[in-house]
Amino acid sequence: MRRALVILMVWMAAAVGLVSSNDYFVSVATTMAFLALWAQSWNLLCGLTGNISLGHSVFVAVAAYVTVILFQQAGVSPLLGGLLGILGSVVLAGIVGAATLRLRGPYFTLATLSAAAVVLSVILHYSELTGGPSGLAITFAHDSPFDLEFTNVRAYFLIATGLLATVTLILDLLKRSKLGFYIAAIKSSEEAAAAAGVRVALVKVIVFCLSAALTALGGVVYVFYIGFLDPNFLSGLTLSVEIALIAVVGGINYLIGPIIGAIFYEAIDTAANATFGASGGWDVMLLGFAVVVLVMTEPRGLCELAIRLLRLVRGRPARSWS
Amino acid sequence: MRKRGLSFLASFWTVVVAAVLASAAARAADTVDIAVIVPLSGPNATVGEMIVNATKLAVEDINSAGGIKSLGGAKLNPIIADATNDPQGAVTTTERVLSQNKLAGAYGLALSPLTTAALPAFVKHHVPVVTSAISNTLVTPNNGGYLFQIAPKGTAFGNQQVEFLKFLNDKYKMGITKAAILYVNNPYGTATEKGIEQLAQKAGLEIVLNSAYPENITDASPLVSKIQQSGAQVLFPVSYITDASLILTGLRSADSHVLVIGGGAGFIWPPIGESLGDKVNGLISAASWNLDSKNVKDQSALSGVTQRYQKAYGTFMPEQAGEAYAGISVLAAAIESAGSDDPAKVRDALAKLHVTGGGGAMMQPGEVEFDANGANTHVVPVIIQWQNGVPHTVFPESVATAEVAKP
Amino acid sequence: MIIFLQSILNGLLIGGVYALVAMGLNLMFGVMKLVNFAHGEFLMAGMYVAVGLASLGTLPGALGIFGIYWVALPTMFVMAAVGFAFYLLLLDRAARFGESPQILLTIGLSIGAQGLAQVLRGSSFRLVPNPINGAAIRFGGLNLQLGPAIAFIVALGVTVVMAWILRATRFGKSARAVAESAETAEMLGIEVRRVYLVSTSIAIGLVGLAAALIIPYQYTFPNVGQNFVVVAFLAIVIAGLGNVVGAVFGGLLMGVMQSLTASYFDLDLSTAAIYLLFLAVLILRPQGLFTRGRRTL
Repeated sequence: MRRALVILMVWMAAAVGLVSSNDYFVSVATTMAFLALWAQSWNLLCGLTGNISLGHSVFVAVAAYVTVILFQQAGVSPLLGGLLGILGSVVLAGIVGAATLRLRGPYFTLATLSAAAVVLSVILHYSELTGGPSGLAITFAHDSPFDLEFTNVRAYFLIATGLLATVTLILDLLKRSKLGFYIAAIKSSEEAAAAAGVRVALVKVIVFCLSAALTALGGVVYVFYIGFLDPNFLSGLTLSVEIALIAVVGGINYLIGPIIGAIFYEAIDTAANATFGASGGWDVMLLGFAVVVLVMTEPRGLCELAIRLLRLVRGRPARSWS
Repeated sequence: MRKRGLSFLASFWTVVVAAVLASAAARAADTVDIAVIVPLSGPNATVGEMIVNATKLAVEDINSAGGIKSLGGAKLNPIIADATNDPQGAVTTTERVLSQNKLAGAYGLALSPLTTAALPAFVKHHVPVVTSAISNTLVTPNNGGYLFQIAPKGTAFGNQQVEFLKFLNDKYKMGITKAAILYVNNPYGTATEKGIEQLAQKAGLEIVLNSAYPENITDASPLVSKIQQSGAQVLFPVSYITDASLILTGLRSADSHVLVIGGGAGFIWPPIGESLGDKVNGLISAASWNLDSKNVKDQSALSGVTQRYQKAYGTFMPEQAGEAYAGISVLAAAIESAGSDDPAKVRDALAKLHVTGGGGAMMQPGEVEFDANGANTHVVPVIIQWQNGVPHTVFPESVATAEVAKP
Repeated sequence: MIIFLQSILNGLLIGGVYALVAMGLNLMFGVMKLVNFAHGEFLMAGMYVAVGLASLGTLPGALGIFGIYWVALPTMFVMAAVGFAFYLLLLDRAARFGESPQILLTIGLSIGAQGLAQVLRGSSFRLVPNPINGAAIRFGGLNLQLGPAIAFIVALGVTVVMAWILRATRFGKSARAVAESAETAEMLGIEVRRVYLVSTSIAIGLVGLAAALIIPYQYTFPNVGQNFVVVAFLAIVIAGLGNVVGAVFGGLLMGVMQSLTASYFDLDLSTAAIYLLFLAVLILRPQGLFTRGRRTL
């Protein structure tokens, strides 16, 4: 499995390199990579614990703002500032994670949604520091690697893909580790796990923080790629929903599920925009209904669907519904 | 799983490539392509629609007058794309349109955050963009030199609102000294508010209330309460469509007699006229452009355009449409002047351009010129008053064509 | 003092609207354990139906300035039919999916519906001119906006009706049984799928009613649902998920909270205030403020 992933990553990078004269293509691929990265980080929390977070964008926002504010107002290098930003997100995650320990299902979901909304309100309100609703722009004319500034968008693509591969590997390793074992135990039965001596609360909070840290990591690089911080987007419901959607569409039970989900989602989104964008509404409609069709066909996600199709093609009986 | 996974991905990737390549526009030999990238989905789609409608009219007029004569009568071809509702989508769309087409120039992205996010792409591809976005930060010295703002700057709106109050105070001896400012918490709101604040004190006004409110409110009664609590005599609201309506109806419910001088957007676009019926008459607001300013009314070709818009789209020609008509015309004029569809040359032509006629003169006061940062040097916002269900230009005197009815 | 009273009054009125919008959402969750993220889009659809009907004309004569409200019942029935179809086509099958796919389904539906609305009706903002918009009852220095006031009264009325349905009718008792435990209900001979079907129809019908009540003073446009849906969710959780009667109080509390913070503090923090209230309730009393113990419906 691990080798497959590495091959996958190399292949993706090579493919894009081959058509690299097309900046558009690279930018789409880069967006896919970031979305996949966030979906993977999300999946750590939600795929393994069964709760759905619709507030993950807040970790992108906090890290991004801390990094950029420190960079623009205190001259702190984004490499260091980024670490502080990630730390900020982790602290927030610790608080939210601890506060929502006893919440399950829709309660948990709405709590995460609220946390992101509160942070957004705060960002918009303290506008002297954060630029308020106008956001912050990151402009640069020359490459400055230690400032995460690259004029060639391919640099960001490589970084994003590299981070994605790293995070995927981390998740893979995690599954086989002691922590992963505790997580699986909690997922199947909290009471049994607690009875067996697993420190449930601590594990839950750790997972939350780890998920937030990885999301934040992506966020720090992302804002330099886009060059602009829009608070409504970075801490918004749209991004949170996108992240969750991508992971679930891809398949939360598969390691590469979020990656597949990101490719599918971004491909349909950009293709729909490209073909129907000018027609007012068709592109959005297509995207939404594509998701509906997919879920009705195979609620367990694209990976599962792919396996079903391939079994069908190879003539083996389809797996039963269990 | 390994092999299946890879072959699955291979087919996916192929589909993506095919879809992306399939949407590349085919380019005819004697056309000049310009991009129109504006929000066409989401809550701002209504603005994008106004712009696209006007673009169609402008292109029709330019082409039927002979197209770009310096390029042998080449026809202008607009490539319309959806900037979506967020910066990520705006950047992706802009990259796509710029990479897949040979453009002479562009018009977009209508909203300041989208324009700011997409600007680096225009600079990178050396394609000049004419914009109706109003943010002051777009026209700063280090913006790359490819942005041309045809609309007045955000602060100019606020300035004009206060100037008009001074005018009313003098003309009707209203003795208004206490002002309230309420603005929607987005870049348009904050830029306009700054303009109001700048001039208010100089104009001898005491600001008794200055507050932002969140976007997409469904209830304005707290705002109305605050206005009443503050004892303000004049209100400078800066609002989008729904909030403008809620504020105005809220003020009416509370039987408030505060004078309202709006900051544009929700106060001047057709929906407010539809929702308030004849109660909209008398409403005053600033605007980037209005359909009966002197420079438009005095030219039968231009006022003809506004009539054709009305006929084709069922409402009076709104602000964003007028700006777009002017913007597209200015872009065409620049291409004409450059004698080339090389965008870098078009950019240079735009920088040197001085428009005093044709479609570009749609923009008041009837001439357009850009300074070193891309700001429109001649334009000032107008003040309109709704009369008989249509906004009429009442200020400044140089472009006014109607008398303001006593509020 | 006037300011305080006016704030409370405003809060109650807007809260009534939230409650009305939230009621259907709560019914669906209570009975089917489904969080319908497309709820805002059903509201939007209801608004388009109501506006379409209203533009045909308002009833003159007897109804006076309330002429526009004739659309309420037809809209409700149309939307109930939509709910019926929604269940049969999608939810019936989706009931067997896990929670994540269900949420995903409703999210996809929400996105698609917004696009569909734009395709069918364009992006413009519609409001049929009517005398309710801007009309108010004024007394003693306070004012009551007519549109929200009527919505408030209807919200109370609907709560009473729903409470009666749930207590006194056979369907209501079946619904409560299913809400408590679908398996047990099935074993007791209750046709669970039929309960789901009727509940969905009622829930969407209710949101259609809410739509008809807000079109006199709210613009209708493809994304309007998004402005209401989140607050609706917060309201029902505060009340207690599944607590249909309590949803009213949840809505009212949210409205008053929003109004008071806006009046006394910074306007743009009023949204943060609601979310913080919500978080506080969730953490301190997750079953909801108006639910005793583990009540499910």
